[in-house]
Amino acid sequence: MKKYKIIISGPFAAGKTTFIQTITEIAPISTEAKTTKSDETKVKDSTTVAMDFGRITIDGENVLHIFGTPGQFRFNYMWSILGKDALGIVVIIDSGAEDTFEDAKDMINFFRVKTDAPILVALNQFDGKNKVDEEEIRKILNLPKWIPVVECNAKDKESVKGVLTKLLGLILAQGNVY
Amino acid sequence: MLEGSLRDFSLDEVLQMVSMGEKTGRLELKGETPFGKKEGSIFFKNGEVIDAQTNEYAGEPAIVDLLNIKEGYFKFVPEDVSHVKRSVTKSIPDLVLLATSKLDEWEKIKNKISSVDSVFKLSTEGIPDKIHLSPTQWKIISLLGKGLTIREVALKLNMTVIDVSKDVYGLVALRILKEVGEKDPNKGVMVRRRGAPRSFIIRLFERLRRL
Repeated sequence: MKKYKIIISGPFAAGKTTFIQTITEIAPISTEAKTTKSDETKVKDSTTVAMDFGRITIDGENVLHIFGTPGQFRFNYMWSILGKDALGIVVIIDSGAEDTFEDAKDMINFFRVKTDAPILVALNQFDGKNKVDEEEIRKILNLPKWIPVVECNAKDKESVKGVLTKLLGLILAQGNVY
Repeated sequence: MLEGSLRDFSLDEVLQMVSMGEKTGRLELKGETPFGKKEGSIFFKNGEVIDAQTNEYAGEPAIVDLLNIKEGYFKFVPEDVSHVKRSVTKSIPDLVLLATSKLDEWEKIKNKISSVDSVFKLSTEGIPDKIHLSPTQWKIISLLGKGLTIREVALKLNMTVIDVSKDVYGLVALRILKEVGEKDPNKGVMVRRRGAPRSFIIRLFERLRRL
């Protein structure tokens, strides 16, 4: 069985685990632990500490593994481990959480330095929050033009499929395909 | 004659002995480096390094290669070296420092380049509008574009693999080069391919549509 992988990354509470839960064909495997930092407990009760895992089987010989990284910088050793040999990387950002944009910028720069995989930014739209648009987020994150930005709703299967389809297009254009 | 294992004496200690004793002759070295097995000689005149030779390199690049040997054997043979042309002018501490700093650079380079036997393809997607390349970088790009590995390019240009890797690191960061796989240095055939077949991506498109 040949295994290929893509990475779903992004700051704390951006919607990475939800994104994987929405698309995986198996029960997602998560490594959640109770949040202990006061600023994090205000946002959610638990957080990914090692990785999330989902899968899409293509046929009897090929399978796509979807790995979700922890969002916090203190777990960045997992970003390196999971990012190795990834076909592509989706960085999910909560479009209304301005306080996490700086973390997203660091994360994108981290992957730009550590890998040569194509990167896609997915702006996750949470209900009832003010949100930034593509143009604004490009400026804030200082994104080069080879990193596209797409809007998404991590809870909606069609939306998640749209993000992954866009990433596959990028992999064909920029990635390691032979 | 001075002979032994680098487990008992570090290479630094051996170099110090030859240098402090103001010896003239040839230091033969053989052992493992992060870039594979290396074998060669460093020539000394009155305790000063004057030249070096490996199967692959001559002069400073050969010394950098040999000083990266961590496990292996050494043999100092006192002999006349008047036939050896001086190609190295740096002192021993400077040479050790040079080799160490190159090894440190390699540790950073490894983030983007997995091996000196890596093979690359040229890419035009997402490269900056204006790029300034040095003549050496042009030569490196042209040779890598023909399917040569970093090791093979280094040999052709008489550069160390670390110096070529450093340029390649920059070219990968600029997205001009993309690592596509790795060759077996002995057989010259591709043993590892990075990424996925195009057919897999196409089937994944179709699978997503059906989900």
